[in-house]
Amino acid sequence: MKRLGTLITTAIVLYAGAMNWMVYERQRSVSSLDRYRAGVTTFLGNELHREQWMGIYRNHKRVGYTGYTIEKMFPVEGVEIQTTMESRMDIDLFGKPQTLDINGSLVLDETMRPLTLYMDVSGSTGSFITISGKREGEHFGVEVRRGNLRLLRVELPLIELHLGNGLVPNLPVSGYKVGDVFEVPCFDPLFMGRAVARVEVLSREVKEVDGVQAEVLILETRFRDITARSWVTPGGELIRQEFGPPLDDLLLRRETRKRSTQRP
Amino acid sequence: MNPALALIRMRVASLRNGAQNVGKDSIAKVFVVLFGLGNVIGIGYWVSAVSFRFIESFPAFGASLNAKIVALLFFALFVLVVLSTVIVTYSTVFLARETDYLFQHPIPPRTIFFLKLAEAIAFSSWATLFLCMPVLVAFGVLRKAGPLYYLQCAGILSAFLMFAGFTGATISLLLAPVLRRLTPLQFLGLGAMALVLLGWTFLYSFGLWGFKGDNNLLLLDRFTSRLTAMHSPYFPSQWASAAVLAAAAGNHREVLFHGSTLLANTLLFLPMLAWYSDRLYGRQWVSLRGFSAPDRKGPIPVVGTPAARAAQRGPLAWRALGKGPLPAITLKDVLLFARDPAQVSQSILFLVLMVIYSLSLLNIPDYFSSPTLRLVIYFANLGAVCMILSSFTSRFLFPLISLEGRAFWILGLAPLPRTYLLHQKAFFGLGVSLFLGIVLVTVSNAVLNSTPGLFLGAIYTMFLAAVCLTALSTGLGSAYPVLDEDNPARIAVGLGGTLNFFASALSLAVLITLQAFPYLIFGVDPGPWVGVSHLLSLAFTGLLSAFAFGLGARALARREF
Repeated sequence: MKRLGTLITTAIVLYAGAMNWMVYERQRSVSSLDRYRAGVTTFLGNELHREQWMGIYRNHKRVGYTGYTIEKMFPVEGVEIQTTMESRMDIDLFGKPQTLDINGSLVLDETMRPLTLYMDVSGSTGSFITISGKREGEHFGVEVRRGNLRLLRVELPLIELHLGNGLVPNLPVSGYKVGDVFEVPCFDPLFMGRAVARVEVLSREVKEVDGVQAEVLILETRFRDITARSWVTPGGELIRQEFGPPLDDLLLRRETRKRSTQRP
Repeated sequence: MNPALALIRMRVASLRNGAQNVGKDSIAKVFVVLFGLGNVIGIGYWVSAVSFRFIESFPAFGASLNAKIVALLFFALFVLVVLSTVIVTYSTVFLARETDYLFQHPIPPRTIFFLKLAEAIAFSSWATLFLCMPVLVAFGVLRKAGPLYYLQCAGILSAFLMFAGFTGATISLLLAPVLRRLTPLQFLGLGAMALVLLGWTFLYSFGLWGFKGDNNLLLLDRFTSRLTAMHSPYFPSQWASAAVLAAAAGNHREVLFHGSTLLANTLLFLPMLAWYSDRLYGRQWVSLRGFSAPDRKGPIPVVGTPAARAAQRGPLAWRALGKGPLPAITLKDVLLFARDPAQVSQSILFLVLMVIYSLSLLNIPDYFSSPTLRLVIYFANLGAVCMILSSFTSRFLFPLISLEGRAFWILGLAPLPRTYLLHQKAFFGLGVSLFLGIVLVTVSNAVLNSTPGLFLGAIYTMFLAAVCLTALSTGLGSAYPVLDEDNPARIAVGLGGTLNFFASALSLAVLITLQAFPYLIFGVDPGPWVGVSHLLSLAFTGLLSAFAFGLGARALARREF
């Protein structure tokens, strides 16, 4: 009986030691990540799935929407992060009104490096281009096609990648602090290439959000010579995004998925 | 027979007898208790569901704020259950009469310790379990969680309450030898210091002074964000809230991880407490029961000297009451109260609740400025203040007769009718509850800037409420005494205590409805109808008090001791 007691005590101590060590290790691994990766980890938190939907307005008139989802998945190979992007916008293409649709998905590994990419840019006349990418050794190969015709093939370095929406990218990060600066490579579907988005957290202010006062962080993002100023909650929700020239007539405002995806 | 098994059998038999006695009680009493409990659970669910839905309706931050509220709920529960277990463990493990009785038998201290500890934790946390589960169910419904969520929540909540209970018990065991060496003044001083420190941390976390009244959600968000302990991955409430949030999101890996962390740390208490019970419990129990306590009183004054005469006279305040049975019995009640650390600490907690409530009124939103909305706030405040007073009378006045316990025969031998005892308890209780109620209603109405008419109306209502509540508590306390129980907290949550609580709530609802009806029917300026409502309230108070006193007096007169 006495030995049984010792055995149970040892088992409890080992169990508690193992669990507390795992908590410590998990915390240590998060704090050893760079700010971007740590921000994405806290953005997801206990959730497996998060999304944000924005209405696109030109001169106070709604001209489209853009939606972004991020999902943590657990395949046999390990942890994967799947991001999807969906944008629809009315534009004037060579003086002719067109509706531009961009749909895509990017699958990342645990370290936010890309595994696969697929994007489709289409208009009312059909698909313009299809972009696909996959990991090839120490590179990430990207191929641009129009129908069966290969237009372009590039090899990108295997570093972290974020999926852009054709405008200025919004990072899935929470826990911003004033003074933080992030430089994250983003894939731009319109330019069919990769460019670095530089995000700087300017200030923390109280603004009116959804009719009530809330604390937001003011972010300035520079991407391909365009500057955007965004309101983001401490939890990482993008509330509003205003653009500098040449997109200064555009404005993004947060809305629900239902509102975004319903047909006019 | 194994002593542990024998004690468990005794407890099971006691529970079975209790359950059988429920059937013997009046159907009305059982119905009121069950109806009241059902209402508490139902209202808890409804209020939580409405609040969660309201916050979630702000798409930008609603979901994250709701998650923070769940974290805050676990944080608050942790603090409350730990505090409650500290007090209950001290009185159950060291001071309870049953513990003395068990020590007279050949039962190992470990068995006694774990039996009393289990009782203390169960007693401290059962109400939390009942109140918290509807909130978590409402959260699961909001997040459209699957059936597994509810099972996971029940498991997490149980492990969490066990952890909080063990933490409180450990603190109590560590503090017990220190408390024994403190004088009452030192104890109160330390308690006040701890309260000031906790209060300052609480108010600092709110950032209360930097806000105008209409920023309530921002205030809540900032409060939940600033409590760093709440978000620490090493803090137990964070393990529990993270597990619940992960369960709501269907993230079973995270549920397993956080749930296992919580369970592992809960189990870790078992070998530590087992070691304590084997090595130290017996000795500490002996020293705390005073069998070997050092004499702190100092030299006894010589008979006939001024010091001896002063010692015989007693405090000036008691001499002012004069001689006779009333000051004597009242002095006895006050001394018994002051000598019970559980009573003193819980009354301090009650005072803290009053202060927090009064401070929260400072933040009434600016848009409650129209006469109608101000009336709504006025009556809501009146209801809240009366409910605070009701919890006071249920917790402290209801057990007064029961606390006479087996020594009731001493009072029974005194040349006094038994109804005198009932009236003494009632007047003593009325004095205390009127004082607390009037202070609270005056402060709250001053903060709310009520008009003179409403101010006087509030004081009048509070007077009637104090009479009703005192009459119910003492009347029902005499009608349903628990004379074999020496823990007042247990007496207050027994069947009679629960009946008293719901009867008090019901009588307050009637009283405030009577006071509010002219405003409901005739608007903000009901004229002479206010006087009619005052008269009706007075009549209701008179009838209720006469009924409750009559019930208590008859039961007390018939009782055999």
